Amino acid sequence: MQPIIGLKIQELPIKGLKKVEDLLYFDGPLLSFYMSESDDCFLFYWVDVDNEYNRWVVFPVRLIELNDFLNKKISLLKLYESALNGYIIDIDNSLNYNNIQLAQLLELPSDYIPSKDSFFLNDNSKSDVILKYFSLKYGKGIMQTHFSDGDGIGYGSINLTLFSELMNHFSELNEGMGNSFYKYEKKRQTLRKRKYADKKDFTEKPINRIEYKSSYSFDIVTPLAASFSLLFKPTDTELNFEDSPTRADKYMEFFTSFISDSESIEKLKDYSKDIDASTINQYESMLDLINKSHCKLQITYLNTKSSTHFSREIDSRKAKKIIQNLEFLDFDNDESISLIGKFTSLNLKLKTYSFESADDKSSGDLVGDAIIKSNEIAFNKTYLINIERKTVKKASGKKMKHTDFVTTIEEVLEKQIEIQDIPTTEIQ
Amino acid sequence: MFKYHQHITSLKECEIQCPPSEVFPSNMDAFRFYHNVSCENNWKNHKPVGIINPTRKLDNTEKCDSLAALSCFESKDQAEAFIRNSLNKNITKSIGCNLGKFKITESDGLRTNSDEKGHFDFFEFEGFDFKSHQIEEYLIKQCNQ
Repeated sequence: MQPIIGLKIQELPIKGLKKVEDLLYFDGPLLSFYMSESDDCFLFYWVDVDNEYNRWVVFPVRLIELNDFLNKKISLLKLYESALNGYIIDIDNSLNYNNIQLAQLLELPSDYIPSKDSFFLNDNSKSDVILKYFSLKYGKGIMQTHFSDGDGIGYGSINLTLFSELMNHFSELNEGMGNSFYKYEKKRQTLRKRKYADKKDFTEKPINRIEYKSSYSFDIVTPLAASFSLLFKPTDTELNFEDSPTRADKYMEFFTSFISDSESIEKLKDYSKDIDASTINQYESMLDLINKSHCKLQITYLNTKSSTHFSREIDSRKAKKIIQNLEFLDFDNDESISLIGKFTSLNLKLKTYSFESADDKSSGDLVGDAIIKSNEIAFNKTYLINIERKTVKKASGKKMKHTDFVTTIEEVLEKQIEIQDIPTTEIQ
Repeated sequence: MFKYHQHITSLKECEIQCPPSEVFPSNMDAFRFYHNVSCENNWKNHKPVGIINPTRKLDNTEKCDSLAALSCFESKDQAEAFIRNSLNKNITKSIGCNLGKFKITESDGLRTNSDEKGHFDFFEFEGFDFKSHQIEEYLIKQCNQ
């Protein structure tokens, strides 16, 4: 082993180190990514061996620079230069840390300093390293939307118009898929409950709408380069246990399975009862945009604790194929919608209406209590109406056909509008 | 029976599948690194890295490949590329300065599929010895040993 010019210290002053991933491995680790209990990032870089010890250089690294290194944008030497100082540690076979020294990295013996061309070799198996870091940091699953290829997408950048349109469709698709997931899980629980002759034996906690909404409601964690990625974490606060999937894990399985199954017309048919027509419309719009912009969208989800991992990719070719499949799909779907807005027309004789809210329009028939209430309607007043929407799309036709029936009408005072959330689509 | 069946048994007790399910027999020339016979480290030659002291490791996770398999490459070019592209300048001090070409047959052991860099793991059967199957020897230029 070569002598080191450094400051000897008793112990490594980094608390709670845990391994995120071995970045280079051949007959044992050669470069490993660790995080501390305060979520700081460190690299363990193997530099030497003798009969007693393996020698490692441990140095801090910024996550953004580590990501650039993994994407071959900067060298390992550049990470050394950024860190300035690091620790030299001799580790024995019992994993004891010996001869710990604090040293200036660029003052180390030359064969302990990476060369100028020390670039990380492309290795797809390391593409989830940053996801893994954030999953460990937050103790939950992390979803990544990764946009690549196509016009307007570069390393760490994306055209604003393309990005906002893609994310808008993705967000609406996610919301719709989340509603469908809740419906699907609720239905499955009902079936399980029916199996018990005596309902008292059924001890499962009832599926809660608010809890389930948090499993598909996401916060942005960070944007990431290569080409352009956004990382998200579910807002769900459900406890995460080893090898046991969380609600968010199950939702992402449902979501990503739908994406891969939509490539097959036979499998897609199975979803027509669970997924509403407006969600399918959003999906189709997103696919259309992917096709026209020639970009590629990869959706990855990783939860280190529950060992859950899903990844699906849609490129222009796949998008075109799925759009064709959607056109051949029959839809016969019922949903309940609540809108706040004003009536624009009313025919009391025929019992028909037109209604406009800030973001939707509806026209159709008045039924039940709504017929009685319709006699009191004023066009300058604001109302909350509940609509039963039947959506039908036949394989032969491209357009979805909506038939709306207003079931209840309730006047909303201006003061109430300010404090009242506009109700979202309700699940039957 | 595998040469390191005791390690394989202990891994299985920890519910670690070893060797992995996709291993298969093969007749081929394999390339692997070793220490020069005149070098003091030659006792490490052709032994799984997990049983060499000191082992290059950072935690006590027991791995099938390091306890029961030997690293090989499918071609000389791929093995040389591994050394040439290594970010660790002293890598030959750990794995050896010499590269050998070895004839292996279906009766010698089982191998894994190779990765995109041509690397695969070879699980030797009892009685097999790499030394006696060597057909060529090359010295790696970047040797720092």
